[in-house]
Amino acid sequence: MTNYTNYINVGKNKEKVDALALATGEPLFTDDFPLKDPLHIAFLYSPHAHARIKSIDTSEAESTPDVALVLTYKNTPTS
Amino acid sequence: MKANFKINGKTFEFEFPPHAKLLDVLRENGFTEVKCGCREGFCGACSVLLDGKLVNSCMIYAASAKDREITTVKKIGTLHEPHPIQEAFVEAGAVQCGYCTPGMVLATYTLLERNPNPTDEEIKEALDGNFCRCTGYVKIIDAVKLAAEKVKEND
Repeated sequence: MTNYTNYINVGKNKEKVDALALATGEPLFTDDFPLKDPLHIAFLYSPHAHARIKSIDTSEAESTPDVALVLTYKNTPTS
Repeated sequence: MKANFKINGKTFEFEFPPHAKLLDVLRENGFTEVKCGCREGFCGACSVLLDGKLVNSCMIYAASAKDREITTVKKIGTLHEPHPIQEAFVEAGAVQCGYCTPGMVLATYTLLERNPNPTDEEIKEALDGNFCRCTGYVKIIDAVKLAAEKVKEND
């Protein structure tokens, strides 16, 4: 048996520093932060498998009330 | 709609749409110790006690919990006054990311309430509605056994 008595950490159980806080439900995870009036995102997938996109008409989506932005390849950075 | 809820001993009035789930109403009103995992009733992260019974709050309409008593993990114990179950989870190394832990603690609480001396099989059965994706279950089962000892000592 190796003698670990000279070590501070090696060979010893260490209590996780935030374990009790987690076990009592204190810490906030990313999802737990309150957001005021967040925007919601929805994805529209192609209804056709393995099809070529020849055009995308976003006019109806853009004119829908409360739609903040419609993102397609046209208005997103490519690199 | 509006309704009253007795949460951890205090009465609150919340406004919510009729289709809102208890999970979302609790979280939107600051009870973020109730975690949202799967939203489908599998993972147990959103466990609360409803009139003392362990439930997945994602599977309960807030409207159906109207005027009822809801207990979250914060009523079981706090950072400064932890419950022996919570201390056992820490000592057994059963807390890793901690997302499942509030649900695990509540499931353990209801188990030990009805069965102070559970066998390994009984522990597995009682916790089978709570998923952990970090530690695996060995240390969690150790924690429940340690918790059972601690709870008996405290009585």
